[in-house]
Amino acid sequence: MIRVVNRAMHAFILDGWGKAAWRAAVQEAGLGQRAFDLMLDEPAARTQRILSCMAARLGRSRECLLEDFGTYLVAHPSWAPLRRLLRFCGTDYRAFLMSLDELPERVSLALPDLVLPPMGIEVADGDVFRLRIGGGVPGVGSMAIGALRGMADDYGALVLLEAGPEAADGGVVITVRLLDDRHAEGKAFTLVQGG
Amino acid sequence: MSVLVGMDGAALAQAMPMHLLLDGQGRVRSAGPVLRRVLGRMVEVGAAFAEGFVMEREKRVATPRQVRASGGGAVQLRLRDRGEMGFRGLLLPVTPGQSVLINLSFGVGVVKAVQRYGLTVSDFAATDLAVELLYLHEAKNVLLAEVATLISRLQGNVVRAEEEALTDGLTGLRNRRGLEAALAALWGRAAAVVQVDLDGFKPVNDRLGHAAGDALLCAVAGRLQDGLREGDIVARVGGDEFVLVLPGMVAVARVLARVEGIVAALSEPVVLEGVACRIGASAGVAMSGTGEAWAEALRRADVALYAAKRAGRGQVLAWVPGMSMEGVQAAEGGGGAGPLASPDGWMGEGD
Repeated sequence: MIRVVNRAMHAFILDGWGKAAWRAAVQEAGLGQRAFDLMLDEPAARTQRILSCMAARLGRSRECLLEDFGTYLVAHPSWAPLRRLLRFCGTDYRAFLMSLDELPERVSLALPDLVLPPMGIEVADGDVFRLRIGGGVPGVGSMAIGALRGMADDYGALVLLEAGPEAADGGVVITVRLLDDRHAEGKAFTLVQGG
Repeated sequence: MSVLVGMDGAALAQAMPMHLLLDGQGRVRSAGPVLRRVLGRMVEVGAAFAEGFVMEREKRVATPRQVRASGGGAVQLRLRDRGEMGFRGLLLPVTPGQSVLINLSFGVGVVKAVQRYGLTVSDFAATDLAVELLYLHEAKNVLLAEVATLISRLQGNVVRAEEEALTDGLTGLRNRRGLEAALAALWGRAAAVVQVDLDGFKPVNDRLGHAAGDALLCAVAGRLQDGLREGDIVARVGGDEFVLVLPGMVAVARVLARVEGIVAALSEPVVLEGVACRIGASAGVAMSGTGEAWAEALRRADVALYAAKRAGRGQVLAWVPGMSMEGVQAAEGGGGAGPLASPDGWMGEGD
């Protein structure tokens, strides 16, 4: 998983703040100047260090930056294919939420070595959902909130998202309040591109 | 043994959005909503199944009666008016009477069908994995594009690394390996081969230091390149030793005239740190005929270079039969073997 995350993080910083910012963050993190390539397995700790340095440079919290990262992955034109793949999960935001428990398996169908933490979704009360995400990926809760918000925009849904405290195993529970399923138009999606 | 399952039209449409129910005469009694949208009149109630569809591979189940007799099974279907549209189907004898139920799918043609008919998720049965197939199809394309990008980047790196491996880092001229590669590409062509050795380089290097020596070598490289024509090759093959290859030049006199011009240019002073340094160069020339081994031409040019050195500074000599290296080392005061005269030879005959 880490090489994909590294590459995504690299792209996130490049697309958001440019090459100079990336170089500075890498330098501050005390790492050699070297691109995080898709085929390179950089240790997760390095990514975390770069992220911390980047957050410090921007004067923002890590959580805030991770949320933006999550949104970036599903909303930025550089990652349009990922957004499309996620839209296969369901026809509307509710169906998308209800399919999240099979997301790890769906992802591993396409990328066998990208192991997402286990996810479970339950309807707490009508329009309130609880998403449980297992531990193992630092900051996963913040990233998930960013991504869920980005996908809500994509479907045209209005949601309130709230992350509970991180459990001892690093897992987290996110509460999703679906205020309006058809708040806005939402972005178009066809099963086959250009279809 | 017999189990009756009752299904109304809505349930049938939901479970099998691409079904066809035929009566005993092979006429359509009902068709699933997706099939109706995609095929229109061909599947309207009363239409004859055999007029719209061709049963492939399996001929014996062409009529409902035969289907009942065979007990049904999987079939491959094609449209009569759209030969490229194929369906995978399951034939089942059902009640009442002689009815036959055919459940169709787009099979492996699903990507094209979705594109052509603008199908959406709701057009597939909830249990159908077609959408997952489309998801994987798209994920595969994304990954292939990703890999292609990565490969082209790696290829770029390889090309750059190869170029660097063939280039002298100081002067930007070719190095020995670069010369070998260029000669290999020239194989079969006649050319003049010139070995050039600077006169008086070492004292400059000793007096002004290595940085000045490097600057001097770069100046020399520049002047060598100025004297070249399109297609000529120049390489730095040792400290202050260079090789020129002039393809297509076969007249010795003209080669000598050109090389003398180059040597004259090299003898112009170079200003280093405000000091005008005057060095010179000697050169040995050998002509290589069509298809001759480059190693031999290089060796002869080397012999000629030593003869030139022995004759004094700034000389240009062409190799002639009988010229030899004998006594050269003694005459040079044991100044070491020539740049390309190592006994093992640095270029195989195969080049």
